[in-house]
Amino acid sequence: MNEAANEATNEASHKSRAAALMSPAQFVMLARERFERLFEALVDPARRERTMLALLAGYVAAWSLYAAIAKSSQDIHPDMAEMAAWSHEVGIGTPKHPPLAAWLLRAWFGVVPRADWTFYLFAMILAALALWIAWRMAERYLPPDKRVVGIALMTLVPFYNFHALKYNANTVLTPLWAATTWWFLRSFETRRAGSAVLAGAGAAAAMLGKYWSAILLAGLGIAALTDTRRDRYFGSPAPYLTLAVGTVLLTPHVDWMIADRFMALGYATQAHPATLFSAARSALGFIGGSFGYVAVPIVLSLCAARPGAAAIRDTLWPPEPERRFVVIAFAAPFLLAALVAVALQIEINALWAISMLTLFPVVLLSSPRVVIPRSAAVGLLALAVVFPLVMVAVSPVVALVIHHRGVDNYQGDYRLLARALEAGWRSRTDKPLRIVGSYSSIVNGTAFYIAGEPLTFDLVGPAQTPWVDDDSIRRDGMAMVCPDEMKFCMFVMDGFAAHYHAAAPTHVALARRYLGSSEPPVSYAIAIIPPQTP
Amino acid sequence: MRSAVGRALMMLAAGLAVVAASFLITTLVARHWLPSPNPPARAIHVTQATYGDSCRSFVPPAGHANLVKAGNATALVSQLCDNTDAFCPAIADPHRLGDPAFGCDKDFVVDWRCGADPTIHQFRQPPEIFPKVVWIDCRAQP
Repeated sequence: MNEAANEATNEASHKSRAAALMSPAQFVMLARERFERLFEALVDPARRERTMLALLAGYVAAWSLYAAIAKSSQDIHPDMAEMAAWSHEVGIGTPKHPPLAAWLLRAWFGVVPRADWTFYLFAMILAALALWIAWRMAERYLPPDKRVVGIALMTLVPFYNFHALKYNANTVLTPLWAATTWWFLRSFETRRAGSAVLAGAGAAAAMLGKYWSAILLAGLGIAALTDTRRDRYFGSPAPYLTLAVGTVLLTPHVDWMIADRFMALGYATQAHPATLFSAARSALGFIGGSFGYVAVPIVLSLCAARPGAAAIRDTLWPPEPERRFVVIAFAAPFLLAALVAVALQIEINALWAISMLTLFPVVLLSSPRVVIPRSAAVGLLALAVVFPLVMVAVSPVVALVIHHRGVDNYQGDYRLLARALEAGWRSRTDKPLRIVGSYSSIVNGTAFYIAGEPLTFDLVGPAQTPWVDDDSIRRDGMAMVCPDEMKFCMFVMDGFAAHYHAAAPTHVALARRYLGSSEPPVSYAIAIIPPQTP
Repeated sequence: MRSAVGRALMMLAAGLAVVAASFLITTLVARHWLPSPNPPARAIHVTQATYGDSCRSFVPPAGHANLVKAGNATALVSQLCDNTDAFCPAIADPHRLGDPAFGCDKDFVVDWRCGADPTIHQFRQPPEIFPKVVWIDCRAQP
């Protein structure tokens, strides 16, 4: 046994020495051979599932490492910090969005340490889960080689890497919409009770992720209603089971919303107001921007398959009901989103298409007239594998560029502010710091880095942080901070300081250092309301 | 044709019945077992907020309309202060409210209640004061 192991080690070491000495052409040959073998494993029924899981694990590791390095010159994004703040105190609802994203984060940080890199890891696990669901779903519609190409192309869409890293109410939808779509398609086609129950659970989970999910559910409903097999489906118990399960799981939140006078729903409809013209422009921008996000996969697949007009027609409007159903289920949410934006006069953003791409590989590649040559398929797989590794290699440069260009929302200073607030608090009292207050993005970002996970208080909108009330401020005190240059925050902080008898504010200048260079310093005012408890 | 429509209506009715029954049953269970939002006893309830009430009869220059309406800031201020009993800055943010009366110096009027008390409190900030903030304090209200 030992002898065999030694032999294998010697052989590996010989190969690595040989690789170091080989010419570029030989290296390309060797790499091509490796990717050929990987492709073989991914189309082999006996090995493909575990190979894909291993690849996705590597994908998660590579992009999490990229984020940990590339974002090391800044602190976590305010959206992520907001989710972290909500995750402490969230019940059945939050002030802005439904609660599922905060619940998931609470569960995650219940088992892993709170740190930037674990946050990015969690975000990437969700993206990889969505890719895995897309992979599983594609099995039904695509031959093995196209299935591999489809997932490889999806990994080149920024929604599954760069944007996925910023955990928020949009990114959490990526796996939820994927799962809901998968289970609904299975339920529609098989009408089995299990799939129907899962479709209902997925729909409820998606709605608990963001109210925007109503677009997906309406899109799936339209796909079902326009399909020639609708009588069989609606004549079976499946849709009613889906409706019942979805309603049961969603009702506690709806009941909470009624008691809360639909404040969170109000945020959803009022946060992005628009005129009819700007709403129409944003709807067009949404469709165009969504195309932009998938432009690279579309161009690559066109280059690989070189489809004729008939193949493109067959892709866009397939004659078979199964494939046409998928096209409608894919396209309907995009069109509905554009229509809703105009009808409700709200601005929508192409980033909100982040969860809408589960069926993209099936739509793009399922036409039998679209033929991807094997060499091109292997090349696309190689690109998908190499791209994250290249990004890891350049991540230190990205970090340096971000450091020199600076970031918005004081995102480079949250960690420094946390230390300054802790020091300011300790200079006034030996009681634990339980509440921090500031402008929303600053308070959420800073609280993430304070030991003991204090509650957040939004000075500019106290209703947005309902977990802090008048009694708790008087009892536990509060450490407040505002950038001196942010006049409105300073004005409001002075009002709270006078009302709750804070000590006179102190001023600190903070400048983030990264690899020996400092950002320009920013001056902050810190005011401490001391606790009244003895 | 008629039977197809009838069948569709039957299915729609069945779907609505399933949703209604599921909702009612779950609501009864949820209200028994789950906590409901429980705002503080002296929670703020913004009843109306108007930005530019002083400009209602103002005639704006050509090319502009007078868009002042009572309650034009209610939704925004409610998002900031409803259901909390903490000292609260009700803010008229021109970036979010727009300019309802171009060329007119606008006041800011906020009406609110505290908890279950039906008394309406009102504060009017005159046009010449900036920023447009009305501090609401339900704990100090009688």
